[in-house]
Amino acid sequence: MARLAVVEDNPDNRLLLQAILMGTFEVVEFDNGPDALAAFAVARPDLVLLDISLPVMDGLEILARIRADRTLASLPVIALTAHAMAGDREKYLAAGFDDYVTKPIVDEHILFKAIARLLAAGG
Amino acid sequence: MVPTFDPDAIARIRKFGGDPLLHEMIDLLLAGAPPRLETVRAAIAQGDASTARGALHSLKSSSGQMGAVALQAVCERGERLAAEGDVAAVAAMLPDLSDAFEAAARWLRDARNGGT
Repeated sequence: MARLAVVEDNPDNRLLLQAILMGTFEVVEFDNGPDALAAFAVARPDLVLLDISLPVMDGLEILARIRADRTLASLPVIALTAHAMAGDREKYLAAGFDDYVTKPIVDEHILFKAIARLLAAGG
Repeated sequence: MVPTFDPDAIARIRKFGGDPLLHEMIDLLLAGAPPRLETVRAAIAQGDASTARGALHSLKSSSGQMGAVALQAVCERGERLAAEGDVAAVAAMLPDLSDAFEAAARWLRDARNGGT
């Protein structure tokens, strides 16, 4: 079972993601970037679902640190955002995210497809 | 005019995790929203648009997920105003925010009791 890390500060969002992903993936949860990065250094997940708006260290900063770390650089990272403004997708892909999923998650198949595609590509 | 509530959101959460997930998520929103509203009020009183923006963003995300569409829309408007640094405009909409939360809370309590 692939190991997914969810980095999200809203407990209700984490709960919903856990319910959606449970059974198909092993899910590890973090409510902030520094804790997630410290854990990734010890046990690298197979894929990360990363919220953009986080306190302390935002998703773009966390992604930059992942990409700058030799052992984590190739880790597939999906941006999760409730912004959903025009041009966001392009912006986050340009920033180095592998995919982009908007919250709230209305169709779980879109998320599953994005995850499956990236896991198949072998991050 | 946006609809006030979206029952499809409640149905979706039920599909993902049944009533236990729905109840837990409603409880989390009902418990988590008042402190976030208080954070917005306190931040605005101190002219701190950035903290207000963060709390509004978080509440927007939570309410959108639960189908509390009107609350989500008010939060989004506030988030945008806070991002522009317009503290006075956010202050002016605080009553709307409270009303939208009260309405959403009533609707969610009904949904929790099987009304939706």
